[in-house]
Amino acid sequence: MHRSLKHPITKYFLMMLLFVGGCKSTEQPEKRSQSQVGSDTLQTDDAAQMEHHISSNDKTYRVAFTPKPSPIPMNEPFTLDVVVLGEAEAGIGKNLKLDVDAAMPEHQHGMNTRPRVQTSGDGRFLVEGMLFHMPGHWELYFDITDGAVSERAQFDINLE
Amino acid sequence: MRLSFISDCLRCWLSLLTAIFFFIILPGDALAATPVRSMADVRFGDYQFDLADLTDPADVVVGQNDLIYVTDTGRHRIQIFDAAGERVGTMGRRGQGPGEFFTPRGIAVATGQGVFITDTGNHRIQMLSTEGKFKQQWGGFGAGPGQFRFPQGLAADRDRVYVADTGNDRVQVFDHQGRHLLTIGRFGSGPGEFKRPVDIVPDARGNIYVVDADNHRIQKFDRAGRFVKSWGQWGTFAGLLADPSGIHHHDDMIYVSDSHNHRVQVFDLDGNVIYQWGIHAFRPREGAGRLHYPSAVALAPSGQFAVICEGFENRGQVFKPMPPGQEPPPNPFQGMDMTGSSHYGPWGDVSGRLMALTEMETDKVSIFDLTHATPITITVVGAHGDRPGQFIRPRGVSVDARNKRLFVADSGNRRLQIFQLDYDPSAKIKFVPGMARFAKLLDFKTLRERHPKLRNLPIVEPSAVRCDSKGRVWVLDQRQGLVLVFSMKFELLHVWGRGTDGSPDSLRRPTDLAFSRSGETVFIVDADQHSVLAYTMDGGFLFKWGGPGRGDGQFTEPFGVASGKDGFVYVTDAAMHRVQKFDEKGRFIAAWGEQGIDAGRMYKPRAIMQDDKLRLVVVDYGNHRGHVFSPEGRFSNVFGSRFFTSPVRRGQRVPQDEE
Repeated sequence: MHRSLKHPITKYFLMMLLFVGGCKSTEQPEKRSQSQVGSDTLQTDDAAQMEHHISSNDKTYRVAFTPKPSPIPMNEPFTLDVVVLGEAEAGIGKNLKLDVDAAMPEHQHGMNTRPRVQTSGDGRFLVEGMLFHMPGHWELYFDITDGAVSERAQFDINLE
Repeated sequence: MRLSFISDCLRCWLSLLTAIFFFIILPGDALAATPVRSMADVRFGDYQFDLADLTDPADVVVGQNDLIYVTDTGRHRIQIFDAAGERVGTMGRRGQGPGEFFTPRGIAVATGQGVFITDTGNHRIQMLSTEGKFKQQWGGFGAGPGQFRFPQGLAADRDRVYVADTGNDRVQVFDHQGRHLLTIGRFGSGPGEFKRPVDIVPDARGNIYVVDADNHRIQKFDRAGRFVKSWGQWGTFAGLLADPSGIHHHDDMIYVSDSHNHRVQVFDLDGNVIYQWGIHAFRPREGAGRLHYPSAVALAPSGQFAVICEGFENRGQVFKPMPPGQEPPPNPFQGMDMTGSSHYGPWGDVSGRLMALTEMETDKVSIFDLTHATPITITVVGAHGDRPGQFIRPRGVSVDARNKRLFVADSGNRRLQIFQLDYDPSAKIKFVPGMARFAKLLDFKTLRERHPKLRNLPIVEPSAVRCDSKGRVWVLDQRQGLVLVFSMKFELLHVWGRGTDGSPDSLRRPTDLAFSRSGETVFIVDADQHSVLAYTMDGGFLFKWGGPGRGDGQFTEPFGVASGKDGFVYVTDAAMHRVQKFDEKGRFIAAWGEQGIDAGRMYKPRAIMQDDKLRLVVVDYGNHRGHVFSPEGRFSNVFGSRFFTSPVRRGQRVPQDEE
């Protein structure tokens, strides 16, 4: 499904969604040279198209993602298109694994669904099975695993 | 009329025979005089008496003639009591020879054969006659068939011996001569996998039941070792378990000591709850039927009494069945949220104004601000679970105030986790939920598969963790006797200890570490050597001090160490309930503390930390609270939940803030 991002109509649709508004990114996309994010130009372009851009909590990765639909609806399934980039010049490992989860810390619970993550193996992921079943403060977790080390990128959402 | 007369006569004879049976044929002591009902109708819970003079008893079994055998683990021997609670004998002593033990933790009696004992610290099984005469042994340290790493519970039936090979996360089955028959399981949480199996029992059909402690469940296997089913998960309600510690089979019922729920749960062979008994002890050292971290349960073969061991309280308790028709009293604390109950420790750390303490009952970490005289909780980190940011049995913590990081040894999940602290020292002190954000983790299972230095070692089970002044992360594995040093990026820099080619002076059970003021020496407490060992920062052995004993400078069960602030080294001794102060060469300077609940008195103290104001914070582990002392040992303050601190505060002026 992430490949559909390449389609001009899909891009236009996404831009319209962004224009309409919804969950706003807490961080603006950073302007980065291609050499900073590795050699995969296509991947960098993909990331630039994404709606939200965050750094992982120990600064090893940058995560760019777009929810579909956007804004995230309440109590309806949604998907995420995700691109993971290396924060350092070395880029990212080929065997990168992504787990996605979400929780409402004030309510001490998570989602009622278990997300499914598909990857094309080059840092691009499609996450299905997301569902925020109630309004309030949600934390969206991207846990990126490379070998024995997992690192989290976290995004806060207020769902109304 | 005639029939009625005969019937009346028969009834009279039956009554007479019944009376003769119960009052003359059955033995005359109090426990044995109770008529035996069907075990399905029996409900234990009627407290009788204590088994006294035990030190950290781990397991119990009742043999023929109602003799009670208890592993007196802390004193490296077996104690034998009669059904009236009188001690009638002991077996073994500390050592490595035949008939000697080092921290024995499991015991079973095979009728007509003898007594099997897991000699945990010597990684072997020993068989003795019921009189204590050595008969045979097998095992040795390792991961091969027939070898063990810290085996704990065991059981025996007519032809087999079943061993919970805890350190290898598996169980092994042997015949009575020690010939290896079966190995079941490996590390994991799937069906047939284990995280810290601690006890085992067969039923009458040869099915095997294993206490899978860190998965908080019971797993059932058939006689051939095939997985059948499992039940239980972490929780407090009936059928749920919290750190289960022991298991016993009697008359097609499974008795489980549910340690952190302070109760015994009784199941049928399919895991359905039949009943539970035990009420959480509330006052310090409270017994008389109240339970506090039961470690094992066993029934007499006759079913007339049950024995529960509580290692935490250094005692055993004997129960009879409740009178017919009566249920054990319900536990009023079941389902209670223990967050904030100040069950601190065993580990903790201080850096700058921040202090981190693990909470043993909630699987969380509390962060405190140390600005004022009383530490103030400013956030709570984590929750029980195996997802990133969650913990199972968190142990060591290290807080790095300068870099606003928290390290947690997630022992049950075999991981090291790092959290980023959104902490502003200039802000008003208040509780801030969500102050700590999970940043990243290191998974030791994967690391072992990929790192050549760890491939031949067991999966690291992190216990203590500390950051040194150069930003390196030190991890202790107290069960495997290992020290690992990582860079901040989790690159393994150094590993030494048991089974490695590192320092020749092997560690046995390293519990805590601290760095000298110069940052050039690391002090490691080894509880099994009753010593503090000093090493260079790259693992070169320098010297050690201590040794077993109760005198000045000696240790019985050392645990925590603090150093680096004022040039002294402070060490807690859990068994002696005290703190000892040394210089950095190991010369004794002072000691303070004794068992109790009043100001400055402790019960099984664990972690010790020193803040920038040179105050010493001691985790009074057994009293579920913390103490603050001056460097000279003068009691300054107590903190924790009101219930556990009130014996100190009552009638005493609360210390004023120092600022």
